[in-house]
Amino acid sequence: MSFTKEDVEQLSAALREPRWVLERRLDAWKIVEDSELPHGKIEAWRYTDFRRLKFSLDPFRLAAPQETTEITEVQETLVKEEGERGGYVVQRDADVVHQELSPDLAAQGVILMSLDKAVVEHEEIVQEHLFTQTKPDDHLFAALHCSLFSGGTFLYVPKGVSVSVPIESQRWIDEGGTGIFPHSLIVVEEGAELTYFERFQSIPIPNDSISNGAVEVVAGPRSHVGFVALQEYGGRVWNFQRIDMSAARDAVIRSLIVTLGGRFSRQEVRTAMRGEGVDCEMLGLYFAEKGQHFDFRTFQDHIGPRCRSDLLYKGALKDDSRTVYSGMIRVEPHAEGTDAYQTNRNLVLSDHAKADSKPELEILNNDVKCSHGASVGQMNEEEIFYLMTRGIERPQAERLIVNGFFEEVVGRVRQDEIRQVLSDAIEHKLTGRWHSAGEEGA
Amino acid sequence: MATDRIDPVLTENEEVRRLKEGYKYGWHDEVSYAEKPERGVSHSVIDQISDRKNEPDWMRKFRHKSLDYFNRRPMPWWATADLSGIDFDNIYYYIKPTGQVKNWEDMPPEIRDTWDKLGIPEAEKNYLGGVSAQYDSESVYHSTKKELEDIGVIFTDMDTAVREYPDLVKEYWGTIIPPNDNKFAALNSAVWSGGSFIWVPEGVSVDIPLQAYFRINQENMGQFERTLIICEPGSWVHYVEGCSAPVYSSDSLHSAVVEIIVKDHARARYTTIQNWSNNVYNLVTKRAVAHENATMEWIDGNLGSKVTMKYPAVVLKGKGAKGEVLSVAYAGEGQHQDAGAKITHAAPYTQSTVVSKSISKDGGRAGYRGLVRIDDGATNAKSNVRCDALILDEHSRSDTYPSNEIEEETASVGHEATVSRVGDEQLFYLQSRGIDETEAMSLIVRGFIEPITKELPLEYSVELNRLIELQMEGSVG
Amino acid sequence: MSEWTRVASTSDLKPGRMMQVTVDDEPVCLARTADAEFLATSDICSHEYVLLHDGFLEGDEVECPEHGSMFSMRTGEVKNLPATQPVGVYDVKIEGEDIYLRPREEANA
Repeated sequence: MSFTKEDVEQLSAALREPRWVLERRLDAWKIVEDSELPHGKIEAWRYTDFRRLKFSLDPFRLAAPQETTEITEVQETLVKEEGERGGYVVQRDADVVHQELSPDLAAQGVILMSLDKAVVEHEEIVQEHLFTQTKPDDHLFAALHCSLFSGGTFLYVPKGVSVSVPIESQRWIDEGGTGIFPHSLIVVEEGAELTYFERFQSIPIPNDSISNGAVEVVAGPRSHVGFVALQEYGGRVWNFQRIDMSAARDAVIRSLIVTLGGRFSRQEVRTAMRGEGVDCEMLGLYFAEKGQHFDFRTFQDHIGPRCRSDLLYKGALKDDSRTVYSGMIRVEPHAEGTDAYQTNRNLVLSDHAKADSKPELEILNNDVKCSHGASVGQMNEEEIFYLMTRGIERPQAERLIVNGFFEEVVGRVRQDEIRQVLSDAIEHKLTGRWHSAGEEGA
Repeated sequence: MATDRIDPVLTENEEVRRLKEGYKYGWHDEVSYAEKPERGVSHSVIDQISDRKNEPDWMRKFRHKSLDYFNRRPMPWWATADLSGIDFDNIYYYIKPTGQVKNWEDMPPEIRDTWDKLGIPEAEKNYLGGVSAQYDSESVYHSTKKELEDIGVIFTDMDTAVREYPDLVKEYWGTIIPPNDNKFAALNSAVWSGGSFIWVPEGVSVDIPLQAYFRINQENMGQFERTLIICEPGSWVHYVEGCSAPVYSSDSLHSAVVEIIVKDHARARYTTIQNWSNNVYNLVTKRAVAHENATMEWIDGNLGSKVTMKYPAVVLKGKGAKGEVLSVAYAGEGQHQDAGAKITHAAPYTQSTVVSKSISKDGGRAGYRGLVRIDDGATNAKSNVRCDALILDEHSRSDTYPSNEIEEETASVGHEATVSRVGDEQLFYLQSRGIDETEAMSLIVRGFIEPITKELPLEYSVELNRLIELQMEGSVG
Repeated sequence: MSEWTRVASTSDLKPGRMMQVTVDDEPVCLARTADAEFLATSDICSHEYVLLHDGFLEGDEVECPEHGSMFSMRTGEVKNLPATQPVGVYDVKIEGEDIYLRPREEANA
């Protein structure tokens, strides 16, 4: 591995952060030193064997923070082309290059800035929450993230404040051969409302890069939080991401993970329902092609009583791609009155694609209603035939069917402006405009 | 649920009480053993076993090689069950009770008494197939009905088969479950003793179930029987095994290997009612291969043992082969039932069905662990898995760990699982019809496992229900 | 048609032994049988990701060290469960001391 303890120390010094941040980084680094690259003999990585993927951490160097970095034209255009936003954070490689928040929200006490800056300017609240949800001790990538995070987003919504337009973070990879570690810390106080959108993109780069990000969401009592992640990296990016959400009493918490890009993408999404009466929705959508390998791991942690969780992950696979879905519903002993559902559906479009699914349950309380279902199937030839008799060409007929398959998920997105961005991204992918590493060229 | 569905057996409390006194594994017999070698396993212990059995050289070599595998392998890294109580060095790997007998009357009275308690001779009298009974390591009683011989079926204990049908045994031995398949299969391969050998000739249907009973009657005893069933094309056989053991203060180990070959258009069904006592580690490897248009069915009832880890497997190797696993697990106090099924679709147009029902109560932990794999090239394969769990109190636990590995576009694979409690409304309804709470609970549980019990031969269906009835008593309140 | 790749020298491997070599970036199990014949298959078991050269060579068959699956090193065919799919086979060419390998073209079924 090319990352070193010196990287951690130099990064911390460059960011001029408080001592406690460096200490948390170094604690995580100790775990890095004791960890090995996960392999198929660890249950959580059974279907993602890095030997088979020929992946190692050797070729990457840390994307270091720059003294002066500016938002590029293309990024600026993309920001402008999107719908209305309550605020933006744009990160390029290691640095946040642009941040803005509507004055109206700022006046209500909403805070939005890079996490680098927030550890200094809002030290107390960051210190209280940072790494309370994302723990470095799960595996090597979690530990690496907690050691080397930079840039990132800090978003705070005070008690009772309702943010009606989405706030967005964009992460860009502009450089090959690097590792970036964006961390988002989202704190939504009691009774507040927020929709937060994260988008990951890269320009064509000459060699592989790694993105190892995390999102921590702390949802207060009776808060309403929506989280949407759209990952559209190019074919040379290895993506690792954790999304750890914690919900207090009577919170309503919804997440949607849309994964289209990257040579490889491993995403772990956890909702910990700590308080009573939490209502949780977890959605996922993925389309893998051209050798892509996607691995999703979801956790519905029922800790408090009378919580409800409903999960639906749908994916389509083409070419020689491979997807893994494993999901755990865990009902703790005191979580009486739990209602938990989990569904994973896969549509296989090619004979060379592989879909693995592991829908798991661990139930330690008898007062529960729990079910899960997983299925793998192919496209219905009759439907295609029907569309073709209506004069629609086969490729388009297939796209229509995949779109129909995704609609069950996309249709649940409540914000029009986000739903449109997602539909466009899916359309882009379905029409073959995503490029694998080989197609990107050098 | 209609009240007229109450089975008279269930309501005969007198009979249940008698069963509880007499049947439950709470007795152990004073049996005189012919030999009792040292504890622990080593190459010299293996030579002793092989010498006593006067085995051919290939079997001795197989045992030694298997011991090397066993010694080299770590304990299963993926196990969620606690296996730390197994002390391999403190186990007797082979005990030979008094020699094999042909007639029931010649059985030692203690052993006969054991079978009486299990109801075996009765069962035999009531027209059943051959009964092979294994007491600790060796088969002590084996009777093959003349009808079987007349139609050319071989049904004998495994030790005899190695001596009398060496070519047949050698051709298939270890091809379905190689000795290095897993640590416990390696141990079995090294120290195996007893078990059944069945060969069914082409086109022959055995209309009566063939049965075997296995019993551990010695503290710290390991039982390692080995069963090999070969169904020639177009044949049919149903094999039923029951297991029990008395309660001791320290743990015993049961680690069997069962290999089944179901050739073209043949069908085999293997039924287990496992009622080991609560200090037996039951770690069993069972795998069948089904050739073209063949059908393999596992029916697996797990009621006893401290820890069971058992996932009957079917490899659907021939076009159009079918595999089915029906499984019931019941985990009471101190029990962990890690049961399941593994299906590999290795050929086109293969089909599989898994139905698993688990019940946990009094702090027990019951679970399903499964694998459905569709190989590349196994076109138009279909698989359906359904797991239902019932948790009867707040101290108990249910786990579901299925894996689906799909490498074929034309596959259709579904997995559904539910976990639930016994609904208050259901209980209330039955109680309002004059059924007391215990009985109502039993009724609901029996309805829950009915998809499995209805597949069993009558005696076993009754036995399974009785066992669950016994376990259920006192579970309410 | 793939090119021949030189992977080892005949003196690198004693009879009855196996080693890992690389062809086109893929790990390959190279064996020298007791009869001093060189055979090669993919080094990855078709059942799970386990390296076959860590296993056991018996005649011209290789046994996986993890679950005991056996493969013919001549044809790649499965001889023993739990594996159900064959492994890829490599053609071997010896020139003097040098061992060359080339992935065998799959026969069209």
